[in-house]
Amino acid sequence: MIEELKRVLEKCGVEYAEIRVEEREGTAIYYSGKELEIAERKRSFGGCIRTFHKGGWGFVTFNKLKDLEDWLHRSERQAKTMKRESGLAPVKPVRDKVRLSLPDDPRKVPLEEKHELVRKYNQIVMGHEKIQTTRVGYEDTFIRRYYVNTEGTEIVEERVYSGVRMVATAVDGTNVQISFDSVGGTQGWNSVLGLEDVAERVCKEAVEMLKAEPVDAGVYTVVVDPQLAGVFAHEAFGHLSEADHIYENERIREIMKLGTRFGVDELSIVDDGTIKGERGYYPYDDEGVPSRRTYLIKNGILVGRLHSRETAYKMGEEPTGNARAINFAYPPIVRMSCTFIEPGDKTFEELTDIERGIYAIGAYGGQTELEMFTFSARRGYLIEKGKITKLLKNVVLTGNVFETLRNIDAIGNDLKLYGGLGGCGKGGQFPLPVSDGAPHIRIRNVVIGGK
Amino acid sequence: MVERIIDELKKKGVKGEAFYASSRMNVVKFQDDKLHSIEEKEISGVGVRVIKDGKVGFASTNKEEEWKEVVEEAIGVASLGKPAKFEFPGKSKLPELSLYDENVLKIEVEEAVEKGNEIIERIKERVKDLKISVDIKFGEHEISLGNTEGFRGNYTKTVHSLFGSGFGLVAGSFLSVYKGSGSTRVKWMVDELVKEIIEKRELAENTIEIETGEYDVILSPEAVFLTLTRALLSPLNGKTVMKGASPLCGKLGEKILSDKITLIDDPLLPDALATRPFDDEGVVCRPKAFYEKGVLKNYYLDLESAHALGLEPTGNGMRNYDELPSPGYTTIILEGGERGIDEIIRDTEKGILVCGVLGGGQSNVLAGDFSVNLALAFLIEKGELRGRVKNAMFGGNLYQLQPNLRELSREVQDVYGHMRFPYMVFERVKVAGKA
Repeated sequence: MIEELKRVLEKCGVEYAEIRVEEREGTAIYYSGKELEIAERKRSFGGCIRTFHKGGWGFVTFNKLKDLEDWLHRSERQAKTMKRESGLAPVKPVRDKVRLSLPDDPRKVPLEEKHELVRKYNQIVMGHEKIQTTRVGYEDTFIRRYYVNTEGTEIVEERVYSGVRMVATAVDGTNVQISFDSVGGTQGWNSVLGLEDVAERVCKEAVEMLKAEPVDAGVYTVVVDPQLAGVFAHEAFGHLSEADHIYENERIREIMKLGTRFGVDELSIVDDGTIKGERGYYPYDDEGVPSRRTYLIKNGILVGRLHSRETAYKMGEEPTGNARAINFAYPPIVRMSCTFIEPGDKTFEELTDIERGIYAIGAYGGQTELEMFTFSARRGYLIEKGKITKLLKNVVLTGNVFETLRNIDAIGNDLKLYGGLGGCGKGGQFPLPVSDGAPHIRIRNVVIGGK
Repeated sequence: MVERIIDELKKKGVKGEAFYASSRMNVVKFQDDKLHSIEEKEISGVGVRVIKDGKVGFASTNKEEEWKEVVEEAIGVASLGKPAKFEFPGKSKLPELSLYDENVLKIEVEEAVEKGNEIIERIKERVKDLKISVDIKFGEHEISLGNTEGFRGNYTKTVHSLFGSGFGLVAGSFLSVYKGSGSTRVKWMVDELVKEIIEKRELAENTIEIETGEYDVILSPEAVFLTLTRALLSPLNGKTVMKGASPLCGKLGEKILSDKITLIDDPLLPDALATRPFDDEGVVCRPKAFYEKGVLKNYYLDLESAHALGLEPTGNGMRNYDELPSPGYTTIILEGGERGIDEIIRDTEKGILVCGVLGGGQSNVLAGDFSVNLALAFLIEKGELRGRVKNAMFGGNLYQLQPNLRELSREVQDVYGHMRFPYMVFERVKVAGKA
């Protein structure tokens, strides 16, 4: 395959060209309530050619691997239509073959065994009379990717994602409450075994939430659990560190000036694509650049950001290996990998030792518009005189990310990373496998929406 | 391809269907005032669903030469598949729709580049501090569906869409304004887009922090879309109803919402992006009311959920080629009211006009909960827009809010070619501020 692609690139008539071809195959098994809902096998195949000429990009994608030269020339014409100034930061060409060699490759596990696992977890999630329905499933995706460019980089890489997702819906009259969790990564079949405790928790939490009271709207001190804090690190701050947001806009560039203080000394936020087994792990990005560990905030100071080769060129910085595409049908854009807040030294008891506040747990979802964010916690508790008391629902946090980062006043010592089966969306590309995480953190003056 | 697969299924003596989808699309993107990328995509694939020994199996591929293997795989996974509680529909007479505009395919990439540049220049003449992004898409989708019970159908639909946004630091805080359109015909809504972005930017000049309290909240059509669509529509999903997870289970014919609410699903609306003669399972499409004067009339159903609920399929089975069908909606229309929006604003003593929100659809939408940050909203005092409201949240429950629904505007506007909504006016509802 690589040789065939290289031959096509020999016909390249512009400054730079790359070809990416991907083969995928996967399994999905989902239960919904008592019944098996989905049992399916998916295969997909396709490629793309991206060309660069005098600052302009061309991009074509296809799933029939014939007439590649014709596609190359179409892409070149697009690149020539664009008249703009840009460039690509230099990187060392890479020649590598990363073959998958997991002792417990999910592809070797029989379909029936996967089915049995899902059935077992589903039984546990359904384990209460108030659970009206569930959605419990397993998915795996194997990817083989071929990448060549006109600078001599040639990579064949294999990867396999696997994970489970569990959702419980509890109903009492018109009161409907949902609880969920998802576990998974790139470390193989073992990672989805032994999750009975997770299934039990998902069931129990949905039922408990039926009795939760809506939170009173207002301004609170909030202790945020590792999962929600991870979503905050990714959504609210991580996206601001993506250099494509920054490079054209002078004002944002001013705010995101390296060296600016963003929080207390204990606050450090990292993006690290090199953590094997994580869902956000990858050896090379979709421009053939090796992944790496990049500090975004170190000891409270903004020290770095995430780059593609183009944004690195434009800002005169080094590429960080963060140009990623969800699949062959999309060009790479600047994305995160595994983004997390580094642990501090506080225990959970020290964090919750406050007069009055809210303990916010898990994330329904989050949305940001640069400085502004809103996050819905899955559940919350009132904290009164250092004690965790009443169970709360509809806990939605909103605010300005820069104020909120400054208002983080204590960081726990209990870092956890989350991958699962979810992903990140940006520029119409969803879901991209990422991980995020944090220890427990405490934030002062957070606006909580509610009744 | 579809024919060959059906022949193969018949030969093997299993009931089944083949769903083929193909798309060719050009995408021209401008970012931060400049041409950012030009892309061309051509993707196709086929999904095979079978019923073998009373159980469902499914497999898909986009490598056409693998179609035989995919038939085998679908039959293979059927052994552990769920029981098939539906029948594939047979042959039927399909509505004739005009979905194809050859002018869409005549658009040249250079022309799209010119339009984008024109939009950016016209906005920048008036507004210097916003960075403008524009997305232009044009191309065609082809759907071909057949099953062993005699249904055959195919259509090719052209699509053209335009989306523009302005983003920047205005009066000390980030502002994001946007406008979009979509159609099966060529539709350059350049004037509307330019006007919207300039107007909103000019209104944002003054920002105001408001106190927590009761306000009349006016949601623009776009804000209705972002804030309430999921709370309105998720509980009507046949699959959710079938599982008993919707609070609207067993409530057909009951009065649920204010009698001001008539909500329609119209798959035959001319030029709309979701318009189609048949759904992705071969059921003929027809318009239907979800709510008529607040009374629940229909859920949206695929074959399976219709069968489980003992109802007729509504023609709302939707899918990509690589997934099993599930219930989905087409173009949603909320009927308007009596008065125009200008008059409504003039008569508002103390209110907030909400044009953009953050966080829509993230709360417990099934229960009707919503909670949004007012990302782009304006304070109204004594009938006049005073300035942009900052750091405020609006939340509540769709069902509990019905008594507060005072009126809907006469104007019913297209939101991205997917929905048609009026302005919705809720009186005296709580908004959380930070002042």
